[in-house]
Amino acid sequence: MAKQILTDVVVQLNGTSVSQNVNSVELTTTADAIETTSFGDSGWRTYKGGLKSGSVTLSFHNDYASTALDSILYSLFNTIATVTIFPAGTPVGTSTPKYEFTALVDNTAPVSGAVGDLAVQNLTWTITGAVTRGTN
Amino acid sequence: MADISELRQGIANNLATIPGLRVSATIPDNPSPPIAIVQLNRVQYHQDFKRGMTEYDFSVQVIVGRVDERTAQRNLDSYCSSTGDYAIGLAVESDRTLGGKAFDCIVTEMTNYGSVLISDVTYLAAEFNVRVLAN
Repeated sequence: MAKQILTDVVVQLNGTSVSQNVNSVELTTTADAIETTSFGDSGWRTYKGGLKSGSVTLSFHNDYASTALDSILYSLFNTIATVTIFPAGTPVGTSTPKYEFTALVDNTAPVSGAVGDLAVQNLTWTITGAVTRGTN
Repeated sequence: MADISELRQGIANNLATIPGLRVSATIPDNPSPPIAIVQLNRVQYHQDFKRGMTEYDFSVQVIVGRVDERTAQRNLDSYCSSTGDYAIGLAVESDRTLGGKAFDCIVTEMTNYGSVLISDVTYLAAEFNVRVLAN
């Protein structure tokens, strides 16, 4: 498949799939831009890549049933969780990669919404350590 | 994915708890008022990854006879009320899982209160929008 519409993204938290309660995911990685500009650079700034970091933003549709999403997320609060994202679903392959990392679950939103709204949790977690891209 | 006919029937079953109101889960050729007719307006797929949720918008059209204008409006008003034995909203939400077929449902609004012409007969009617979340 070439360009792709996201429908079957798999999101796992500590190995448990929560995909069917997720409607949006964004994994972002950044690197510090370390300036290396010196005399003789013809007036243009130059940079080298520095320390890398990342974050993941997930939009959940909440479920308060026993052992369902809300209990999973709340039990992860203030812990380091392993997050695995399969953008093109499973199984993993050269054109269906997975991204894996650990994140500090430093925020949850067990209750969010106005009257008549769908119960949601829109969360952004800071990645701690490396983000790996796997194809097998 | 939930069976749409089962969701439709679930709404109809809840409406059937209203005293004296006929209920049709499908659109009848010749409705006999007072009657509530369940209709499907829109389906929004892929509300979660892996087909975790689909959103269904139903409408419930309530039609009452218009032999006497004031009585007809009084009858329809009781269906539009947010409380009481005849409240459409309360009845639909009396079992929000629609018999275990839905995650949740809510009656969001009433619209189109007014006259309708069916088979050359004028009736009074109102429409209730029902948002159903299922997979």
